[in-house]
Amino acid sequence: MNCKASILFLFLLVFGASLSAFAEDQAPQPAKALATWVKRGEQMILVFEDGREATLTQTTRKPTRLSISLRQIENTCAPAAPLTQCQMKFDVSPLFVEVLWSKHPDQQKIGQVVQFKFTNPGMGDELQRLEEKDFNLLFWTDTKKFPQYQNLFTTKDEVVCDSFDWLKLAQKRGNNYLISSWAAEQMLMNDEIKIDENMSSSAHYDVELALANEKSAIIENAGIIYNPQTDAVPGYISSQVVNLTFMNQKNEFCQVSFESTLGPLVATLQSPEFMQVNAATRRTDIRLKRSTTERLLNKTNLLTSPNNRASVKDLE
Amino acid sequence: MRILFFSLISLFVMTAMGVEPAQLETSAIKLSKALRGIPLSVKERQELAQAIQAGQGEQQYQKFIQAFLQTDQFRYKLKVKVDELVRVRTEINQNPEQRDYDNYQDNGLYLGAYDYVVRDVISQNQSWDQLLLAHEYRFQKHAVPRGDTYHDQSFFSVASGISQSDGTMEDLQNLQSYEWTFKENQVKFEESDERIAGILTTPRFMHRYVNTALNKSRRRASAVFRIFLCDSMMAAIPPTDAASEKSDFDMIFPHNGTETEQQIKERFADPHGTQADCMSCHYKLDPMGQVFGFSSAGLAPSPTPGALRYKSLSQGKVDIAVNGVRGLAKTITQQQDYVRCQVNHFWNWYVGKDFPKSEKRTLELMSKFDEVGRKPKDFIAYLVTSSEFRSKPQILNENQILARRAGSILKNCFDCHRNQNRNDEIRDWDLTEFPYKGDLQQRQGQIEMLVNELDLTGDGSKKTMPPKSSVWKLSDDQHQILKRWVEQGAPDYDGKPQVNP
Repeated sequence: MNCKASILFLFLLVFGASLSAFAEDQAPQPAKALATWVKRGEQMILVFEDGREATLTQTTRKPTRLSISLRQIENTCAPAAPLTQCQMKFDVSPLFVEVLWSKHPDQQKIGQVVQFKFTNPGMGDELQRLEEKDFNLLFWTDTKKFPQYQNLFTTKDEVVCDSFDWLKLAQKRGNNYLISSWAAEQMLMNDEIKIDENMSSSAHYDVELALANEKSAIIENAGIIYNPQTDAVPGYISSQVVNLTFMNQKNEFCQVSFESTLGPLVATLQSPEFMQVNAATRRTDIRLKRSTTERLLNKTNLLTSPNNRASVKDLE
Repeated sequence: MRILFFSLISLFVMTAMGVEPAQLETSAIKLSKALRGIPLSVKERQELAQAIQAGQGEQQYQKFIQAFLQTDQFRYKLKVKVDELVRVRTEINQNPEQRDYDNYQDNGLYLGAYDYVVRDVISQNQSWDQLLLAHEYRFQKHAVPRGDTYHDQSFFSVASGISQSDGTMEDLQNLQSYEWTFKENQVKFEESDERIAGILTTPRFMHRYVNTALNKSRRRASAVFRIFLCDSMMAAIPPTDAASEKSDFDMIFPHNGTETEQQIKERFADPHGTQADCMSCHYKLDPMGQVFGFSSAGLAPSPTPGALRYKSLSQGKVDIAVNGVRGLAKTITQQQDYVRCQVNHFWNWYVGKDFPKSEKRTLELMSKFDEVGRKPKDFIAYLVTSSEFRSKPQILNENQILARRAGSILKNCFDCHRNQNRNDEIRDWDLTEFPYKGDLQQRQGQIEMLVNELDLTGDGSKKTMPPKSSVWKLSDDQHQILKRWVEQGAPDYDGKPQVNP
């Protein structure tokens, strides 16, 4: 009897130990992301858990010269003066941001855009391509932040007016007329009162304009840029009103406002002809515009967040 | 027996001092609710009862004041009051179970520069002037660069040179888990920096009161007048002769919006901005709005000149040139009207709007406010120790009630008339301050004017005030109240007739 009890005891001991070992092997592991962003020098690489890699790239082309109409609606320092009609001319290029396979067992995938399907609850499966092309634009004013494109943007922004009497009122900095604030209005939600309303939402400060002739002024210095809402377009372009404030030569505060029309410009920017890029300009040593980063983050989050891996499939 | 004996002695002593134990307890409960929003706890009531028995009731009341002023609830309640005054949202988790009044990070909320300025003034008992004069800011930095219209870091980047948050590669790398972080950022400006002025130069204030080409920052100026000088900018009353009334009001309120501003300008001989009744407000708003002129979107790198210009009831015309928002803020804090206004805010918050005070009392409070260095906790401690706060609720007689109701109606009249630019006897007359100044004959004349303008002897159909196009209309009920008030001799807040009934 004692012997049988001992054997039973030993059996239970061994069985119990095995069970706990098995349980330990089966303990839930923390979820891991499918991929991680890694910085190598100036490059951003998306490194996948299976060893594949994809590199963040940006491609553009030489800019196109476009213009918008500006109709003067107010001049507080010369209220009796006739209101003038202007145009603002600027260079703009499309930007293609793509995450391209750079290390893949299938050599044909190298240079292709990373894409995958993901399950969108209530909507079924959707295809996600890691690229940003729509309304991704580069302007001359962006070259301050992205000096690698300065050689593409050789022509500064320009204002062309029937009359520059309004500008000649302004004080000068050196040979240039100084506009202390050039603000753009938009219709946005006021977070404090939860109402949509017009508001000055972006501005360029201390903009310097130089008169090239009686009808044209070059923006020699786009000034300090304040564009918190989006950097997709320069802070001194608006689809509604732009508002220039400056001190005149009598040290009086002046405000000159223009009504702006962007409609035709938007149509041009969305045309297939405009959206062509030159593959020769592709770079990997890049910084992104903030607006681009936000959109790209939303897409790559599906890969880089451990919580989302279950919804990702057919990662090619 | 001993306890009964000592209780009787305490009762005798306190009664001799004019403080009944029951009244002390009532005051303490009121104190707790006023400062913390909650009644006394059981333990606190026991402490008070023991203190009263020991003849230390008053000292316990003072201890309560000091203790309550240090609580999270007090800080939160006063922050809410300030937010309501400034008319911004109060940042707090709406779920009471998650609410931590002090630890906002746990609430998952984002604190900006405005919030920290107000919190610091309250919790550190800084001078109330710091709401206008603070020049060092803290704010929580989003790790994820956001396209918020008024992101604090972007807002201060132009003036301070700190980098704007942008979508750099580093951000992309750091945000793999896509989690918010609440790392705190600081930005300091020199005290002499003319561009910086407390809450006025924070994203939340500037976004609450947005600038457009049309409003020219007059909206911000109007808020500053309302919050810091208690000037509500009610529209001035134009002349009431039939010929001018229509054209004047057509100018201010175009019929059905069919006229544009340009058309209105062209219709009048005078250039826009010189019409007398428009200028009643514009002469104040425009020079102050100009101070914000360059900061149309965010904080501009350069200060803008402007002026503080208004008519003070006590000082006459105020017209001081200022440079930058700080120049404006500093000048405002030097005005007696500012002190009066802030004192009135505290009075209304802690003693009550319905508890009228005389001009003499107001001056005493203003002096006390200065004496305590304009520190909110010290001034509140004074208010909640005052006889007005601790007085038993008054049972008012009919005339006293009538006076209060009449005063609240006449405030609408005074708010408009005080902004008039004409030489008008009604302009400097505070219709809500009883008794009216002067001898019996002068007061009789003033009441007669009200009777005639408001048709208080009739049914109101012949009244000439308020004007037909005024936003505020005198209702039938209000007409009856004023009529009864006059019939009773226009009693003051003590119920005493000012004139013969």
